[in-house]
Amino acid sequence: MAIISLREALRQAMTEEMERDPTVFLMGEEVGEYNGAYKVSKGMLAQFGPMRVVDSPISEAGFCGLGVGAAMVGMRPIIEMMTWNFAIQAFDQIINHAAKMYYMSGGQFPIPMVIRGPHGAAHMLSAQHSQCVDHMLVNVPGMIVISTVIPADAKGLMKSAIRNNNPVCFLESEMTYGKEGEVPEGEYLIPIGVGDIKRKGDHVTLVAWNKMVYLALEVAQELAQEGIEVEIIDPRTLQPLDENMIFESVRKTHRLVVLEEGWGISTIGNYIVDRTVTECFDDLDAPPARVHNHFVPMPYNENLEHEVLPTKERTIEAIKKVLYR
Amino acid sequence: MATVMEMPKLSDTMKEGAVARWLKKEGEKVTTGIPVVEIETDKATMEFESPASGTLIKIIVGDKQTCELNAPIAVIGKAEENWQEAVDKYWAKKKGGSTAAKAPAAAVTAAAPAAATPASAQAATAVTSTMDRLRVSPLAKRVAADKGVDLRTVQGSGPNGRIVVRDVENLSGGSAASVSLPSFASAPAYEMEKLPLSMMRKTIARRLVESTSTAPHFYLTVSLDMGPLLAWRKATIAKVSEAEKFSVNDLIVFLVSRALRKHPNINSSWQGEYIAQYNSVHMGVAVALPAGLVTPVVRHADKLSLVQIAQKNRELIKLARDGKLQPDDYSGGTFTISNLGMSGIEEFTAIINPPQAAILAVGTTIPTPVVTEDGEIAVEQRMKVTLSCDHRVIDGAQGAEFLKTLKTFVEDPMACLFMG
Repeated sequence: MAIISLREALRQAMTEEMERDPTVFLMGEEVGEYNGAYKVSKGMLAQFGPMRVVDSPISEAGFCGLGVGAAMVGMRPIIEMMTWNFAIQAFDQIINHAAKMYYMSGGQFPIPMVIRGPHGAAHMLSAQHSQCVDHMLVNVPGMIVISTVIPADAKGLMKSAIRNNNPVCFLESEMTYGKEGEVPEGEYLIPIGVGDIKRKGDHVTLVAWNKMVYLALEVAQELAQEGIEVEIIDPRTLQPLDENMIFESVRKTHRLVVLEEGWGISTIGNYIVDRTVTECFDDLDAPPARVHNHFVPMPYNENLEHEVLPTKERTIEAIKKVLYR
Repeated sequence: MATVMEMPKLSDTMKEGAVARWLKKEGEKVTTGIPVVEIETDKATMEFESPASGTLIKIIVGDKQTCELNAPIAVIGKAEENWQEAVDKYWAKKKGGSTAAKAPAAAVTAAAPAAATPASAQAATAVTSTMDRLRVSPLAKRVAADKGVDLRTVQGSGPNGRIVVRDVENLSGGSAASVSLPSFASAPAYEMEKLPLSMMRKTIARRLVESTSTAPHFYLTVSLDMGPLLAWRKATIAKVSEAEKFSVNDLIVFLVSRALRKHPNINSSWQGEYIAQYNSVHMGVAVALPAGLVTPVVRHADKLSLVQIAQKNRELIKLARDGKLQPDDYSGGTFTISNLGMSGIEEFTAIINPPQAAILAVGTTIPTPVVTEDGEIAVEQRMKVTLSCDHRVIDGAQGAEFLKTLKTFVEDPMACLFMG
């Protein structure tokens, strides 16, 4: 199996799907001539030409709306947002149009559109460009939300997302585009809504997604030296969520910690805790714990930024708390 | 609106209650203030009055059944009322306030041996004394139910004393796995009868295990010359009325109480954070009953006359034998005397009645050869008493000083006049 980076895995997925289906096209800021702000679409303009790799104006609401319209007339657009922070400009198109069209047209207009881009904090981009919106997106019926940075998962899920007839928000991470992993070549599809156990363990269930999976793996490795075996669940799809995988793990470990980026109020972590307490009440030996950003606008200062984001130390502390250690 | 009748807490040491007998049947009329049920506590059987007037529409805990304190035992209301609804409302109101099983059927258990292990029995007091309710993780609660562990006997190691699963697992799993007991499976199956444990038997078991496993006991024995005292008693009771007569035991209670007044460090109790030293002597007198043992308390025994003590003793012993002692009659003792002299026991050691610091075991009086001060051998009426002391409270020399005073009082009762 080839070892490739996340950006290569995403490119492979998009390229394969565009080769397979002529209605698929890519549109976004600088995806063509500049080969993508993060080089995800490198070489795609040369391969597919300007009709299928379209450089858009700097207007998220505009080109996202274009995508919705294209989908309504039978195309399968991939809309690249330079970051999900900028996609906030296009939330009316995403929430009011993409997510609602199929329902409000009485099933006449499915929106087979993928909106993708990096999500959360990168590095020293300050308060406006370091945010998480995953918890807002999952709370809108009519959309699928995928959040993954593991190269193989990204390829398999991107191909499934492009083939899906619903709008799919696909959340990546700027910091992990260069991170490599083994990726199956050719036709490789991962079903939407199925989580993955990133590490097996009996003592505590740690749910993490997107780039927090890398932090979770680091924490698990360190705690293994103390004899604590952490089971890491990566839901990969946030909407719909693979709840049963989490419940099964908690029924084994009796303890839950959710590690997520973003502020801690009304989040996916809250939801996972709520569902777990409801479904696994008699299996819990400790109240579930959560690790998330501190509730402040993201500081530009590097040290402060590090402290605001979830840290290894805070995650270990939360795990020991639910273990009564 | 129907009234739910709860299992009452009739004594401080009561951990669960048993219905001895219902005085009314389901469907019969009951009246506020008129007894409807006899409740067996750990010490006595007491009548309990109806909390409301109406029809006894449902008996939840039947004769000879036990349940947790404050669990519903019956419902009183109008004949056509739905008792289940009343019970559901009762639990709904209590929700969060109790960890007792919510379903009445689950709260009721047939009188059966408690699952408490010796080590956990002492923990139970610690738990209940510091906490208004048990805190248990949902998993620990489920595992305890599966294993038949009584959560009230478990010490929680989590935050705020929360019982977590390791506490329950250590308890039942640990004792089963790590202790290798001789196998009884291969032993011949003797014929035997399983005797159900009365509330009193359970309490005796729990408290005495608590005492021997927490209070470091030591024992001091002294031999007392009873000759002059017995002669004086014989002469005195010949002269007094029937109501004023007193036994040797009454005399011992009287003299020990006076001696304790001079040694308040013996009239004390261990309270964990401090030692309580009492200004007055409240004398527990152990009384053997067919079903077990109970220690009614003679209050302010050090301030009562000999005749008053004799009267009080007679009254309490009768109540004890009739099973009519009230909680006030047997709680709050500061010292205990256990007398097996009438059974011919020469000397013995007693287990301290917690949280008291000492107990005096009194043997029988027997003619004994002794070497007198002149070096002659003489026969004296001798009685041996053994003081069991909790070394956390009392040191050896302090116990010895007390026994020295007691010896002076017993051998020279006149000394009491100016020393006691």
